[in-house]
Amino acid sequence: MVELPDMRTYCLCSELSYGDIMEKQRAEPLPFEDFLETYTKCNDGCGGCVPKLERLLVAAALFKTR
Amino acid sequence: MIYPQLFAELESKRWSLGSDVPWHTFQADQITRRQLEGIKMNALLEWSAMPTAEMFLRDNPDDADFSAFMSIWFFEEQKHSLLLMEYLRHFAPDLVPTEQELSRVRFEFDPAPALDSLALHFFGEVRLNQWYRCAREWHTEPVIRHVYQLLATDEARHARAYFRYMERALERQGQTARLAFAKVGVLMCNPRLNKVMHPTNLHVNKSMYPNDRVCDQLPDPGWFARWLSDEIGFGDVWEAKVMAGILKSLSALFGVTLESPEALRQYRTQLRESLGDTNWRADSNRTSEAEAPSLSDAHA
Repeated sequence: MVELPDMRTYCLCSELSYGDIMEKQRAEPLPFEDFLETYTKCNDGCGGCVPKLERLLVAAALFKTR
Repeated sequence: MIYPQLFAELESKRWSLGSDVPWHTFQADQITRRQLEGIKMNALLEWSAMPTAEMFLRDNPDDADFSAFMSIWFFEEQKHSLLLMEYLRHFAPDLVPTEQELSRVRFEFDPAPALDSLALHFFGEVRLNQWYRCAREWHTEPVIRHVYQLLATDEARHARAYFRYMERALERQGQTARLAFAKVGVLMCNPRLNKVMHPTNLHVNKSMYPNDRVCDQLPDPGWFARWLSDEIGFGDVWEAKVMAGILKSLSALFGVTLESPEALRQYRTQLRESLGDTNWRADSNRTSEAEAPSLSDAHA
């Protein structure tokens, strides 16, 4: 089983913790591409957090494709 | 081993000097001579990855995993220098650094504790990410804006890679690593110290003191501080972003909430007391003084 990232992990590009980012998705769930665009700066940033955030979303049943 | 996964991750994000830089969008009227000179200085500073890689390899002889990662980090940092030099070669060829100028930033760093150097470079990458983001906003010339964006995102990835080795160090070396990272974090968050808080501005070779910083080897040693304060305008708002990056990353690393430099200082004090370190008061006082930063501060 793949270990999930700590929710305190800080995304340098978004300047938010994973917990803060997940909270935004919980409040208003968006499809993954929109999630990245709206709640993070990963698309214009290093992209290093994208797979980790995806895993967190799937684990929390917050991953949406459309 | 972290290296194989890092290799794959970083390779998947790697950009090409030839095809990922929009050289054709250059606008000559959007760049000044002073800005071009700054690009030269940054090219020289990036070249100092060479002595840094040499230091890391020398000081981590028993760490094959981290040493292998150095090959990626060194490659990508040298590529930053090359990219900036390519910009100059295209648009200001008289400012391309000479081999002599490049050679000046390669000098031996004194041996340093591996954990301290690891933390220093994590914090350095966090800061550099924000410096380059700030430089991108300051510039109006499209190509150099794109260049600084590439550099900033690379530095963020490098910070994340160093962070993974810090996590591994906590697993393997426990409180020793925790104390080392807290110590360097306190130094890097000290608002009384010079804000040019980056490994290239630290004293690294006692035999060359006081001219033993990488910055001292630049054609214009005072450029770095002026670039930050007088040119790109790296002020309080940007500094707060750096502090957030450092404190929130350390919070995640240590599993505690560290909202301010003072909270980190207190955390370190408590850590030292819990470990029975009797020298903490003298050291704590010393690192709070407004003195020039040095590796010896970090390595106290």
